[in-house]
Amino acid sequence: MDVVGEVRREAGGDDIEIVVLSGEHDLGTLPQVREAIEATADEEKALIIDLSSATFVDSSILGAVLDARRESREAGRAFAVACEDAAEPVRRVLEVTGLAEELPVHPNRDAALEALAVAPT
Amino acid sequence: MAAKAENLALVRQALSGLADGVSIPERPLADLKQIATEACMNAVVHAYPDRDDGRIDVHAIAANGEVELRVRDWGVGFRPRPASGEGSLHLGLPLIASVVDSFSIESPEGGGTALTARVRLTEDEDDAPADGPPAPKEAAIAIDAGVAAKPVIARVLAIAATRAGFSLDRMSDGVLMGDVIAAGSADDFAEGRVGIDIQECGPNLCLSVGPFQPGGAKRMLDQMELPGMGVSIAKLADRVEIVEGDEGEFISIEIAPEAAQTA
Repeated sequence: MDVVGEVRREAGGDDIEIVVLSGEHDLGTLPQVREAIEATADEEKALIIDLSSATFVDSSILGAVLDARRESREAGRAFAVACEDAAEPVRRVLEVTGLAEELPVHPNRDAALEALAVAPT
Repeated sequence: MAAKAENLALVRQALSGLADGVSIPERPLADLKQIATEACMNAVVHAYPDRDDGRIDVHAIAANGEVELRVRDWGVGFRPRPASGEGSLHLGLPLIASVVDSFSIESPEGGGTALTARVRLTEDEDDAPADGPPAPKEAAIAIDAGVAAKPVIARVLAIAATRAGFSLDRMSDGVLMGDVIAAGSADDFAEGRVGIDIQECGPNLCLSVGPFQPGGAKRMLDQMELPGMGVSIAKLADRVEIVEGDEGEFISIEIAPEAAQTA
């Protein structure tokens, strides 16, 4: 199990930025998570936050994800979250907080990419 | 340990170590990590606003098929966060409430805040022992009567009502009920502290408020009305009665998920 949380950016095509969280994330890694998300803001591309490789997230990280969604909306960028069932602890947190439906969360990155491909910006 | 963000991961590692030692299944271990992280984060962010040498103690004891987790700080005490910018979740306590079997928040002697949570060591509800029903969901708070009591009680009642599947309207009744309780006179409570135990009893929520000074429970019921709104406990609850306990008088309140139809 990945203990140390890592954040990286990937390209999901010409028009999509993906921020991938792997391992454990909490208040200690929140600055890196926010920094990675904010670094995509200038790109004016759609944004996917992929939590499929994350093994733990706390409410501070959920707050960062919600902020990213709000800022994407304000900027007219499409936004999606991906979280596979295999990331069970993270999936459970999204469900008990109601965010699985609120965001909404797609079951994998391909589904998120597909949703963004048809979503109006 | 020091109240630092970088130590939150250490707490989860310690819990993983405990799980190796006493065979804690994956799901309750994940819940314990979530509870410990949220409780410690609350202490890191809020307990020591003017100090950088704050301390948090975390104790986890596995016994009788459950783990009792206690997170204690010596900071400024429990203060609900004021509403801040959009995107702020305030999900720490609701998250804890969603995954525990019972929890309590206290202001212990010596100051600070102590959160105690219990998690059963079964993989899920279906794995509960066949020789008895699952432990009832319950929460308890004890807080100094005063300005902080109202938001604390309202928030805990809202969490309990949400968890019990109350409708939005009925949840609002529960929050109003918390306001009515908090509006009572501190003099009527024993030692000036508002204590509330909340339990799920069937589909309903059962509240035990107290202990009160002798005669204080009746006095409070007579006076309990939300200022300017004419809302009293009797109008909101499905059952209200005064009971005698070992520590004094208590007001016992039961509220159903749906409001009773009145003619």
